[in-house]
Amino acid sequence: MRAALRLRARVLARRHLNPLDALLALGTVALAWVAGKQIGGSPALVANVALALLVAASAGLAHNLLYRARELTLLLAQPISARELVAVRFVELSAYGLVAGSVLAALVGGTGGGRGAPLAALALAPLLAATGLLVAWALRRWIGLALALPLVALAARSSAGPGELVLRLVRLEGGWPLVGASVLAAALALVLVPIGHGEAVNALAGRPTRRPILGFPRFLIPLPRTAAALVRRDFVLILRGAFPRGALVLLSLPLGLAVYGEAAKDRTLEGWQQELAALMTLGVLATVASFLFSIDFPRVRAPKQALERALPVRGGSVLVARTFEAAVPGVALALALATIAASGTNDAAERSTDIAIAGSLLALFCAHHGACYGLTTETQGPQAELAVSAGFPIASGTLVVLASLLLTIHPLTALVYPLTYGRLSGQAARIWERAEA
Amino acid sequence: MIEVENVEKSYGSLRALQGVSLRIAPGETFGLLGLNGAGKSTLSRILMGLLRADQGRVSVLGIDPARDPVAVRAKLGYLAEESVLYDELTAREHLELVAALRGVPRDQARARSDRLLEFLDLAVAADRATGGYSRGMRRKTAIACALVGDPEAVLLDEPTDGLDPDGARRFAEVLAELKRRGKAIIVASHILPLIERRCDRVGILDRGKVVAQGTLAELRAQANEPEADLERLFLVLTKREEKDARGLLE
Repeated sequence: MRAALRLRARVLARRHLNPLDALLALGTVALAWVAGKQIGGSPALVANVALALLVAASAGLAHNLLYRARELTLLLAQPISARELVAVRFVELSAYGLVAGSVLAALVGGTGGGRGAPLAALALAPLLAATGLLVAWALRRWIGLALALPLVALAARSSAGPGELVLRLVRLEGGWPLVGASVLAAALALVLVPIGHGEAVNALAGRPTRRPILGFPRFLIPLPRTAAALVRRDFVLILRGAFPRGALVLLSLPLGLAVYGEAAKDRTLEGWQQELAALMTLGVLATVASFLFSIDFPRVRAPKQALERALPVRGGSVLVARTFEAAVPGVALALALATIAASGTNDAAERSTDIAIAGSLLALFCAHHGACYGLTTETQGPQAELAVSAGFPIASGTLVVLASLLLTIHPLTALVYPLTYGRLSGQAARIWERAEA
Repeated sequence: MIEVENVEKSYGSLRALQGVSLRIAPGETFGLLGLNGAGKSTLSRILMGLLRADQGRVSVLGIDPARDPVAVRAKLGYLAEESVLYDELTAREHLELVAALRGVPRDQARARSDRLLEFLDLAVAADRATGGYSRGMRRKTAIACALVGDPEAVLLDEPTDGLDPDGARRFAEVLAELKRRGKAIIVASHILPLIERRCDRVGILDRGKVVAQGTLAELRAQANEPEADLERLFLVLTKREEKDARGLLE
């Protein structure tokens, strides 16, 4: 069992112990804290729903780790018992649970007072792991039903239950039963989940591959055929779970709008300051979107590079595709920011149209800049990953600050972008086409 | 016509290809035979413009892959050594994607995809995610991807890897059809019977060098073994000895 634990620890460390993942985890925790501050109504109800959501996610992950993961072929061929395998998975899931628990504790802590947030995160980690294992074990062949958990929590609209305990523990106002529940759930999982493991693996192995449910209609991508085909591939892959980390970050990007929500209500800020705040906020979010589509997702897809590279795809088409992909969430966020501005103070409301136009332009610039950066650096290999990731915020940050300032002065200053950054397109496309793979 | 003249390629101190010269005419099936690590995949990648040769001249259907790799890829269908597929996409979606990227009109792509899937016995599973496919099914999907653009020439790296006997037989039929259509075909493999039965000429690549090339009769003459099969010829021409494994696990 120790060998299996060491093996899995090494795999997980290689996969997740990098500055990018650390930044994403810390960023999500910070965003959750900010989002917590925006919560009206009952924080305990929000905690209940969020907890149910995390348990469902943990169950999905546990199901895969217990019954479907490819490395099971290697692990189960060794003299390792079902009980030991479950223990290994419990440790793995607890590591993920620590991150998820930190996000939940931050969300709840943001609602007011979070001195106990680190303690709550520590208590939630094994709880999420154990409940995930138990749900995965109980549902086995019907794991899709785990998705009903957050819906049930939402429908119940109850402030009592585990959410209330999380809230109390985060505020250090009690909530100690949560720690007890965590220990109990762990013990139950370690005893119950190994039961019938072999039969379940056998039954699930015989299950035929499924017809995918989610697709992406071609008519929604108004691009030339080659670029449209690349965009459709990426959107379909994301919808079907090929890029879970990226999908999670994309889904959490709207939380960043909460940062501007405060500025829009601030009566001490003048109109131009409101617009600058909106554009700076958008710049950060659009940069994240562009990073995901132009650097991170291509990196995740790198093992499949031979397929794409062996096809007659011009660098220009890839550039157009990636710019479009990142511009879609960027422009959507710009319009959402303009809507927030419209409902803010008079000065912010007056500037909402300017924010919509300038924000959309800024999102487009960030998307294009990220796509050029990604194409230029994509084939530099794993040894350059850190340098590429670290260089991007600096390059993109410069663009965001300068473009936000100029666009605040007048939208027509957008013309400066093609004059200064336009030539990057041709260069990036050529580098990508000719790069060795 | 595919021409390779005195091509050299090194990875650091490792000389992967040393003075490799080959010529493959349209309609010819050329077998590139070599052990693992002999340089077959490196040569394939140079032909596709995925790698650049350190020295020498390469021309694929009149185009230098180092200068215009995209134009070469438009004319050359490529089956990589590994069946590289997106686990979340179906076989049909893969073919749609490849056809779109190769500029095949949509109706033609659909009809050709259907025919390929049917012939390769993938029709039933065509709308299921390839992540759950067996190794053979993945190989067949990759073969279909290499052919759906109806390329002028094809480069197939270990094509029968993972195929069952029925799959291998169907693949042989595909090769015959490609030959009938006058396409230049390069089959890089270490599966001797495949090369012996299906190729017009054979090039033997050993430690980055072409040690012999020609028809089977010409190889027999070079090796001075008039009755030898390809396995024997390979051992003689690459100067390898048969080894005895007795006592290996004591």
